[in-house]
Formats: sequence, structure tokens, C-alpha cells
Amino acid sequence: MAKRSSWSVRVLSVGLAAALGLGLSGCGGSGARAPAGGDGQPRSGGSLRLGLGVDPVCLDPSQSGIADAINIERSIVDSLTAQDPKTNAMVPWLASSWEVSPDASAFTFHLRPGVTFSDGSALSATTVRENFDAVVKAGGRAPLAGSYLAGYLGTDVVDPLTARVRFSRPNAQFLQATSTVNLGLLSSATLARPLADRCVSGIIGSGPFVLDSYVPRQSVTVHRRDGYRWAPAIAGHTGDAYLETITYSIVPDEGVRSGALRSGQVSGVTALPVQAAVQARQAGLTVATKIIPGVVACLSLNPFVSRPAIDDSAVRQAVVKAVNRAEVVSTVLSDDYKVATSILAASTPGYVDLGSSLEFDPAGAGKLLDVAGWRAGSDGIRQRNGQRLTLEVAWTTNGGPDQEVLELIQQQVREVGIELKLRQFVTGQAFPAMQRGVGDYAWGAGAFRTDPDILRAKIVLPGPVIPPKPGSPAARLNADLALQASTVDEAERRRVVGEAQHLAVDDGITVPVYEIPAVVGLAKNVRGFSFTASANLFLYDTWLENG
Amino acid sequence: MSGTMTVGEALGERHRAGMVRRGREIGGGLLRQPMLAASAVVVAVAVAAALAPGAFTGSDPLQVRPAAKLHPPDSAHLFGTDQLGRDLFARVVHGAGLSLSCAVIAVLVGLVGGSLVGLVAGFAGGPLDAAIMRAVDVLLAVPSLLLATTLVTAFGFGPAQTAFAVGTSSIAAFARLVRAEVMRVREQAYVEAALAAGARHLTVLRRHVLPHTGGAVFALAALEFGGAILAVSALGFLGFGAQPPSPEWGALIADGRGYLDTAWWMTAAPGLAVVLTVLALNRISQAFESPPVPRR
Repeated sequence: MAKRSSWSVRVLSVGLAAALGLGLSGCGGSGARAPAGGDGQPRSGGSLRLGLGVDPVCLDPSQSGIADAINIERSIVDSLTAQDPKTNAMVPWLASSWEVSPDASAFTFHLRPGVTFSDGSALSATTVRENFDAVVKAGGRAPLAGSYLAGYLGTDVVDPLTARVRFSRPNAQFLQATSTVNLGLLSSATLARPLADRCVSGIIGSGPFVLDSYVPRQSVTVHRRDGYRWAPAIAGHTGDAYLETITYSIVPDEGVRSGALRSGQVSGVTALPVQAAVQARQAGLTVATKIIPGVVACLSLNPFVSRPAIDDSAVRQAVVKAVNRAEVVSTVLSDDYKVATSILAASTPGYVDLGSSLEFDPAGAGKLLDVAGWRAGSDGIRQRNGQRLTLEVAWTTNGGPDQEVLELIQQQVREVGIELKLRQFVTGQAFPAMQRGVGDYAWGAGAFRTDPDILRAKIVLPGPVIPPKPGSPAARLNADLALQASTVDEAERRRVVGEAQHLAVDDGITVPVYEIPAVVGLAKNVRGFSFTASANLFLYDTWLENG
Repeated sequence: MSGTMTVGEALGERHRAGMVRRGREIGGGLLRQPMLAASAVVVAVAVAAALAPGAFTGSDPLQVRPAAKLHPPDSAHLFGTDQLGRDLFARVVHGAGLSLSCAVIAVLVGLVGGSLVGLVAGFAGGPLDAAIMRAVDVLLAVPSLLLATTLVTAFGFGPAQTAFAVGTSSIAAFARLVRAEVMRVREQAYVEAALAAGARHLTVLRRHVLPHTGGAVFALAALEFGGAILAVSALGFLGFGAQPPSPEWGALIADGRGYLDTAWWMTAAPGLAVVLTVLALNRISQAFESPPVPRR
């Protein structure tokens, strides 16, 4: 009896809280904003409140990989280089120039003089060395940053403002990696602190904003730094930032987050869901979007399994043809998303257009399966030698439209006689399950980086269990992925990366579906907002009209 | 044995007769209590939908129709359609089977597991009883939803796993009740007589103790059923239950969460199904609990 009421009370109270939350967000707006106007000239001052979808967990750039963590860190931490969001060209930032050795195993950076961290210490070649050494020392706690420094030998302090980074083997992706937040430069004082402590406080960078506080799962506040003189070449102005403070509130529920934007509780939100973006536009709010460069949302082969169905290249190719990408985008997603035309998003350097291989072709899929001996069974699912054509997808979600997309794909491939089973896992559990042989495919909602090297992070081949056969597409893909990492010549690297994309798609090792955008909703008075090349928030140029 | 009856059996017989009479009273009371009658109808409809969904709708709950997505309720789609154009009425009707069967399994797990634990503890007494009941206390101290969530994370996602998790988390409540009942019954003279006559403990448990604890336990089971539907739906809402695209009430509500502003029917329809079924079950179990309406 007591048991029963505890259930109902708890469920009811959750419902009530949700209802109240919605109600509050619906009427709690400040509502005091003056109508838009002004001369369009950026003005200094004001506080910006942003709602983020995901708690950053750790604010140390080298230890983080979550998009919303990078969104925050970008305003605190500067990098050696910056990447032009329009052309993807590398431009100077804390390094005013650099040289790359012919075999891409040594990189010499000439630092900009006069740069200081917010604790007053000066940027020098020694700081650069300390930073990269610390990343390598952090090992498993800095997986992403560590992968950028693969083969790191050390950093030579040539003179106080010249640092040479050496690798034991060619590392063509390293220059672009120096523009990422993950390899952003921190002061020596920060690096001296234990790794775990750095997650929640004391992140001292040379950025236009300074970290005030981070309350896990609640909020992060930063304030403007006076005397900032080293904005990257891609910025719209020089000198101090316009905003006085930025408060990032963590609002995980997407309904509450978009409600907070519409009611004016926050002036901007990240990860605006599909439906909310439509509504925000109708309400006259700004919706900024940018396709995130890197690997698109796709099914990718689980390298740890070998089963007759998934090992059949005809089956894999049939899945690629049976997915109606345009229908996925128009039904479940919106115009902010794009139909994938390769395993890389079109904005990624090295992308090649494989649109013709990714056309919706159910007849072609059926023909492939017929030839391979898969015949339609009584319930429409094909069989061969008494074995059903069933494939399993291991998937997790962190709030995106993954489930709807997968359910639609499930129906689409069913039309050609393939049964797709969905197995959901909590974040972090999918990969161990795949290693135990669960799932023919993994569903990945993208892996992001403005460099084709991201393919290597995404396509985990060969599996330790079943190494691909020599000469097979998977083995050739592996070889290409290794080769591109060591190829300095831009044209040659593009060729290898192009071939890798062909192999990944044509043999059905991956099933690209759609390109993923970063979708940011902004109040009417927020101006000067832009994205970085990797589609993270760049708030240095942002200002508030009538703020 | 034919023709003769032990005292215990006679008492059990009388008890059964009481239950039958009580059932008849409730049956007669139905006519005078419209709410109770309506509750009975709701539960009957839910059970019928679970057993024969085809009788209610000819639509395929999994059929995707992108052109008809987010269609408001009308004559063609009684509950409207979801974001993939699937008929929500068909999904709610087909979801009844999964939701109700999970609840049944959950209650059975709680009932069987809890009864065994309670019987042993109550009948054995002494240090074994103390040890078992302290363990039960620990279970009771952990909030049921938290316990169920932990268990389902350990077992893996799926409807059966959810049902077992919910059932396991209700074992403690059953165990306490059964123990109390057993303690009451074992003090009765006929139990002592049976023991004194040399009957084995197991026999006494089976023939004299168990029949007399049944009534209270089944009343609790009826009560737990509504709670189990809520619990299963809650876990389904969190994504632990039925895997997509299988419809399940809690999962259906979760699907509609992102569309509260634009497509209210996506949450309202399955939400109503849960609320009505649980309220109806509670009303019915209340009728078993409360004394009959006095006649004038």
C-alpha cells in the first residue's frame, strides 16, 4: 500500500514539476526589452544569458570533448592558430606565423609578443611546451587532445617566442589541431594543478573572458577581460570584447530550454530541437545554424562482429541504397539539416561528393539482395538458407532526434526486406557492448572536426577480433586512413582522403544519412554572433542592442 | 479425507465463501455506483485491447506515413498521428498489451518473490526472520523508482527487464504483509494442533498457513497492479522499456514530449490511457478494501 502510493506520488510530482516548469518558462520573461532599433554600431556592455543543453562536466580544454564545454572554453582560452569559418584556411592567433617541416613531423611556431594570461603571466615558448607536455602526460584523461599529439616527441624552446613541436612520425593534421580548443593554451599556474581540480575551477587562459565560477549542472559565469589585444585574424574587431559578462545556464530539457528562450529568460540557447527552431523563427527570433564539419550522422560497421548477414557486401550495399535520406530530412528533421552526400560533411576539407552512390534506390537494393540469394520470406523479411536478414543497431542518444530517425530508417529498409533491430544503450555502454559482439552497426550522431583526419576517429578498423582480410575494402580503407595522416602534400592528401570516402561508402562500411547542424536560437537584440570553423560559439564579437 | 474436514480447511472454506460473497456485493454495488461501473468498463476495455488489439483498429501501429505526420485527431485518426505519421490510436491500442503484460509480470514477480520471503520469515521466526526482515527493510529504504532504475540498468533495456525490475522493487512490500499474516495465522490453535499431531513444517505451511494469508495478499496485488502500470510507464518514459518502434504507453508519452506545444495529442492520448487505467484499477481495489455501502 505504502509502496503503491510512493510510486504514484513520485510520478505525479514529476509531472507537476514539469507542468510548473513549463508554466513558469511560459510567463517568466523579463518582457522589458525596448523595441529593436539603433544605428547598427556595436556597443559595449550588458550581460548575455545563454541556455546550454549539456553540462560541460569538465572545463579543462584538454580533458573535454562535449560541444557545450567547448562553447564555454572558447571564450576563456585562445589557441596558437585559428581557422577561417568560411574558407577553412589557417590564420594567425597566438602564433603570428609558423613553418611546417617537409615531412610534417616538426612544426615551428613564432609567438605573438605581449600576450598575457589573465593571471598576469606572459605567454612564452616554455608555456607552449608545458601545455603540450601536460596533454601527453594526462594520457587517457585527454583522449581527444592526446590523439592530436600522437607521436609527440617534445617541444623545443628555440627562443622565448619560438617553439618547435616535434613528432616521431608525420602528423599532417597537427596544424589544424592547434586551432582547436582542446589544444588551447593555459597558464603555467593552471597546468601545475591536479587534473581533476582543473575541471571545475582555475582555468586561466588568455581569452577575451575570464572564468568566474562553475557550479556543476547549474551554471558557468565569465566576465570580460580588460586589455585584451590579441584577437584572431578572423574576428570582426580588435580590443576588448563587447559583452561584460556571460552566464551559461545548464538547461537539459529541450522543451524548457526553448521555452526559456521564447519567454526571454535567456537570450540564447544551444542545441535548439527541430520543432522549437520552427517556432522560434515564427516568433521572429534569430536561429543561427551551421553544418558541423566532420563525420555525418551515419550507421557504421561494428568491427568486432562477424555474422553471415553483415559480412555479405551485397547486404551492406543494399542498406546504403535502401535508406531514403531526403525523406529522413524532410520528415523528422528540417531544412537546417542536409542530406549526406559523403561520409564527411560538405564543409570538411577533403570532402568528395558521392551523392550519386547515396541515392535512394530500393529497386537496386532489391536486385543486389536477389543476386546474393536473399529471398523474400512470408512476412516480407528476406531469408537465405533459412536465416533471416536481420541486422542490429547499437545506439545511444544525448537528446538529438536519433530515435525518430532510426525508426524511420527501420521502416525504409524493411521495404526492401531487411529487418533492422534497435538496441538502445546508456551513454558509454554502447562501445563495451559492441566489443562483446552486440550490434552489426553502431549509430553515430556525428564526430566533429574541421579536418578529414576525423574519419580515423570514427571508423574503428581493424577490430582486434576480426582484422579485415588483406586487400578487402576495409583493409584498404585502413591503409588510406593511416596514409592521409602522414601525407603532407595537400593534393595527395585530398586524393587519399577521397579514396577513403569512396571505400567507406561504396562497400557499405558506413551508411551516411544526414549532415548535422549546430542550431542556436538568439533573442532579437543579440547581434554580431558567429560560429567558429568547427561550429562552436564565438562570442567575442557579440553585442547587445539596447542591452 | 473425503467427507471430513480439518479445522484449518473449514476456516479456509469459510474464508473463500466470504470472498465470494464480497465479490457478489461488489457486483451488485456496481449498479448503484456509477464510478465503480465506469472503472470496470475502463479496465475491461484496456484488457480487451491488450488481448485483441486487432478488434479495435485495423491500422498498423508501425506503418510510417511521412506525408501524414503530426495530423491532429479526426475521424480517420482518432488520436491523430505522430511525427512519423503513424496512427496514434493504433499505437495506444497495441501499446496496451505491452504495458499491461509488463505490469502483470511485475506484480507476479513481487507476489511470488515477496510471498516466499514473507512465508519463510514469518514461519521460521528467530534469527532467520530477523535477518530476512532487516534485508527487506533495506529494500524498503531505497525509493522504488530508484531501485527499479538501477536494476534495469544492470539487466539491460527491454520490456521483460523493466517488468522484473519493477517486480523486484515491490518484493519488500509483499514480504512484509505476508510475514505479518503468517505470524497471525501460526498462533492459531489449529496450526499448533497440526504441528503437535506430527505434521511436517512444509505440510503445515502449505495446507494451513498459506490458504489463510491469501485474501490480504491478493488485495495488495490488486492495489500494486495500478502502481506497476505507472512504474512500467515511468521506466518506459525514461527509455528503459520497449525498444523502438514497439509502442508502449510510457515510451509514447516520451515521444510526444518534444511536441507539447505543437502536437498535444501525442502526449495526451497515451497519457489519458495510463491515467484512466490506473484510476480505474485503484477505484476497483478500493471497493475490495472498503466496507459495502450500508443498505437501507
